[in-house]
Amino acid sequence: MEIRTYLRHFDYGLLAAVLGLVVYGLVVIYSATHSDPNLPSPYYYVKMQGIAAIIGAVLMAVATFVDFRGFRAYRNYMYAGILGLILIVFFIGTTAMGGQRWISLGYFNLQPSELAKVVMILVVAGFLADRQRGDLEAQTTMMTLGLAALPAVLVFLQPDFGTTLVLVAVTLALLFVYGTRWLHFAAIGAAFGAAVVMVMEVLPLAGIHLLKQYQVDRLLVFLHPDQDPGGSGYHLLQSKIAIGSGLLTGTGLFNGTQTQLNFLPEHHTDFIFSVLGEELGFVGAALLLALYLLVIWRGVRIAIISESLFGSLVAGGIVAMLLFQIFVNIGMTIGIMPITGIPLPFLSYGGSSMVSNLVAIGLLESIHVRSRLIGDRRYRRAQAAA
Amino acid sequence: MPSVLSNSRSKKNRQLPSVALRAGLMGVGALLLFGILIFRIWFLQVISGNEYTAMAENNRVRFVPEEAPRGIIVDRNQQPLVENRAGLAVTVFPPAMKNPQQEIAALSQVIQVSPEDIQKQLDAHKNDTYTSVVVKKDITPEMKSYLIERTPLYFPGVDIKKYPLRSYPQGSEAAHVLGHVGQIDEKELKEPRYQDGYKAGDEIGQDGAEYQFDYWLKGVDGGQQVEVDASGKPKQELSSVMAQPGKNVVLTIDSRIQKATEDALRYGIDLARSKHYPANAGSAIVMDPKTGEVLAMASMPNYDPSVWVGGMSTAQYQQLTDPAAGDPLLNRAIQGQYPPGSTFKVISTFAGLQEGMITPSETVNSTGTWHVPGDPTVVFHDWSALGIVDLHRAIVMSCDTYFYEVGYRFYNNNNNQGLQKWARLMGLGSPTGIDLPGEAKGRVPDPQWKQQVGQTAIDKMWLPGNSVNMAIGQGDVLATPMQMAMVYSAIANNGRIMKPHIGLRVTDPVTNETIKEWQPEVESDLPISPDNMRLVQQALIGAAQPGSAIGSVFAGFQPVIAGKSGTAQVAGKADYAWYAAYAPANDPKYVVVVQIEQGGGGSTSAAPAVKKIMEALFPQAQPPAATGTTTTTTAPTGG
Repeated sequence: MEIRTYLRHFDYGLLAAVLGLVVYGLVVIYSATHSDPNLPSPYYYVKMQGIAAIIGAVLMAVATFVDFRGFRAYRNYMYAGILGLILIVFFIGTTAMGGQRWISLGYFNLQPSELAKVVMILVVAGFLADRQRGDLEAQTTMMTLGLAALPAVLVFLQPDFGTTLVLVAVTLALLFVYGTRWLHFAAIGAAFGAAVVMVMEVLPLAGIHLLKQYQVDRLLVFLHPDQDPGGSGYHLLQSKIAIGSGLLTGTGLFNGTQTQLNFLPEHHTDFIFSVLGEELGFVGAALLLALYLLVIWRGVRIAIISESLFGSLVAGGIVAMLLFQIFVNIGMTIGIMPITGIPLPFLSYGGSSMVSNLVAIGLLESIHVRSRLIGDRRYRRAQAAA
Repeated sequence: MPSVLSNSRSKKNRQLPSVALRAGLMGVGALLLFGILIFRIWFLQVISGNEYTAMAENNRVRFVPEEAPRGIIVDRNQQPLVENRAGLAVTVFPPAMKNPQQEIAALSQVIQVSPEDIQKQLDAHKNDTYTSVVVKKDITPEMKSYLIERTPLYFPGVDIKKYPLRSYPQGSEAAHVLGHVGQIDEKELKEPRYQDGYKAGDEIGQDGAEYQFDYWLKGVDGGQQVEVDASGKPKQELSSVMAQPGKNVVLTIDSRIQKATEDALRYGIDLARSKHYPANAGSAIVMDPKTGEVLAMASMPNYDPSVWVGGMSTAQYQQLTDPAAGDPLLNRAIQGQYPPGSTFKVISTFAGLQEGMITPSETVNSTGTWHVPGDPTVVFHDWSALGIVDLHRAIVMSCDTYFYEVGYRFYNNNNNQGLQKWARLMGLGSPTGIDLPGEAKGRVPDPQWKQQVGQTAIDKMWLPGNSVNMAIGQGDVLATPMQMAMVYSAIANNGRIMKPHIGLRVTDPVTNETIKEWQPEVESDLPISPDNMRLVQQALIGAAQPGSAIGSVFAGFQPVIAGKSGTAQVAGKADYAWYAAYAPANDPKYVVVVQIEQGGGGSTSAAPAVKKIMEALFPQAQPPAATGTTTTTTAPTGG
């Protein structure tokens, strides 16, 4: 494909929104971390995040040029590969924050579970696209669930509960876009309900604790944040205070007392939105949501206009992945969602997440470009000439 | 083959219109979710933003009060009596506590304050949101290191700060005069006295000079508004007000005389005990009759005022207020009320002379007993059959019979207010007005009083015996040692009563300039003729000489002492010993009064104690040879 053709069909709106988000994120991370006296330099986190963004941008460009349809053929290798990476974590992983999630790569730490989000979209979408057209039998649904369950369980055991939830959400979204019957979703819902009751109520009685206590606390505290302001509720309360005190226009960058005086925990990672809410106020939060909405809108549009089922599925999966993370993360900071440790796409500090999300955007662009070619007479003429 | 690609794909898409539909549905779902988020964020930031802003302020702003050190209290020679020392206090900032109940319980274990008391302190400050509350003053080094190691990890919001505490360089000396400080309570906060500049948690004077001069001693608290980070570490000072220390108060007390007075009182008590009297308590006063300045005021049993520092336990307090322990908190010099016994006879003398009941030359035959004329059933005893006595000799020998006669004449002449009038003129029956809190007013009984308190018809009547007993300072008349010191001061000062006081001046702690000074103040001039005054003064000189009722206690003492003993009878108790004196007799500089509960006769314990004080007051004038006779009082004594 000619570079000019390619550039003609590029979705610049999507690119601009994502670029805006990444820059926005770097600014907020700088504000959140520059005064940390333990850092070698005030720019430490910004620099690390910037490098991740550059690597992500390169990989995004690659993903854009590469014909995404090619991934479909390699889905089994990708599946095996990601399972392998997740398994490796159990043996040589770095432990932090109650979980073993990283593989140390010298300068960087690779978090396979972050990669798993994107890889599993391709794998499951490929699997579904390879099924017989219109095959909406229970068998397809079951096999899809089974396919996704293996990495989800492995990630859960790391334990990385947040990513597990993302994998589950993405799989369900893919089934949804694929056209799975409502009856199947009802059955899945029922089974999920039963599983929750088992994990939370029945198994603990039998002495089996699949969830660690802090995870249960975090999951439930958003329902009663005042009950335990010292424990898990503390994070939530401080986050709400930060956001609430931002008022309409915020306290100004570098001026949020909740952030700068460390009342807000994990303020450059999971609670980055609270920093933004405090320092930039409702205006800043609304701007962020507008950028996200732009990304989601372009993603949904790409899923609709995609020239292939596989493309629609991949786009739909990516939209679902981003939407789920945005909603759960921001919802967590404002007290309407449990605290699950899900990062905010493009904003939260974290290289693996940044790279994965940018690669996902690259995939969206790739789908966009290729679906646009169908209506491109110059391209068809060129193809015919060839 | 472009057509194959595009045609086949678009055909397949057409086969599955549901894919586009469902993707679109996802978009609708996204809009919904974003709507929820934006609505909730709007609610937090715009609707309830002010509430959260206040909470954020509460998080970061902390007021650390700086307690102003109280002024120090010194004696008239600048000898410190009460000072400040740098103590440590534990403070709690309630909003920073993550699990208040658990933390208070743990803290309670460390600082030895009950969780209820800690909570009480916090509650008293619950409206000062940014303030760190002091929950324990004067912590031990062990408590300090324990807490410092564990704050802020285990005790978030708990801090230790400097806190000025009272110290008493002279130990228990003048404990009753000095009083102590304690935390203001809810009730006190509502009193008019504490409406200006007082707030919950303040240390206020609770007794003695600390209470009396609180207005001066109390400084103005300052403090810092600091910004703290999540771990409670101060980041920057937002504003600061310097604490202004309180003013220093100079008392009329002379520490050296005070010490001697306490020693003498203890000596008198020991002396009485050695003679098998219970002698459970006593008090002593030294004052300047010409100025009203109190140079020493002692009360036994006493206590170490440092027990109050940092707050005391309930058990300690109970011990201090236990009547069985002799009520050590009581300042008997101004709060103890006793029958004055024979020390009252000077009042009866003035009353008798001024009211025309007696003349100086009139004589009475003392046979050892006396009865109301016409009523031999009730016999009044005298301590000795002295024979024919005139007024001078009656005072010198403390003749009861003579004064029975004086009392009876008032009754017989239907003058049942004469004795009372003179008792009141000389200060009995109302507080002397000394600048110390809690002064008792004593009692001057009269027919109206009997009418009020009497239970039966006969009880309500003023009987001859009431006048007769009153004339020798018995019956229902009660006086505080301070009142008797005033009576003898008036005599020493030729009838001029000076307002007694213990505060001398107030000085600035920095410049040492005098801010206020209490000048000698004339309370009243007694309408007593100079002749009558001279007669009593002469008699009091005689009453302190060998051959008087007290024997040879003051034999050979220079300068000449004028004085009068008293032995008051209290039903069911051993006699109460009094001695009131002044010296030098011709130009009195000091009035000294000693009173010992159940200390036997005035000459047994009180007079020797007075002598000890006089020795300290006139160290040079005292010839060494005269000291040997101090304790060898064997002659029959009375008073």
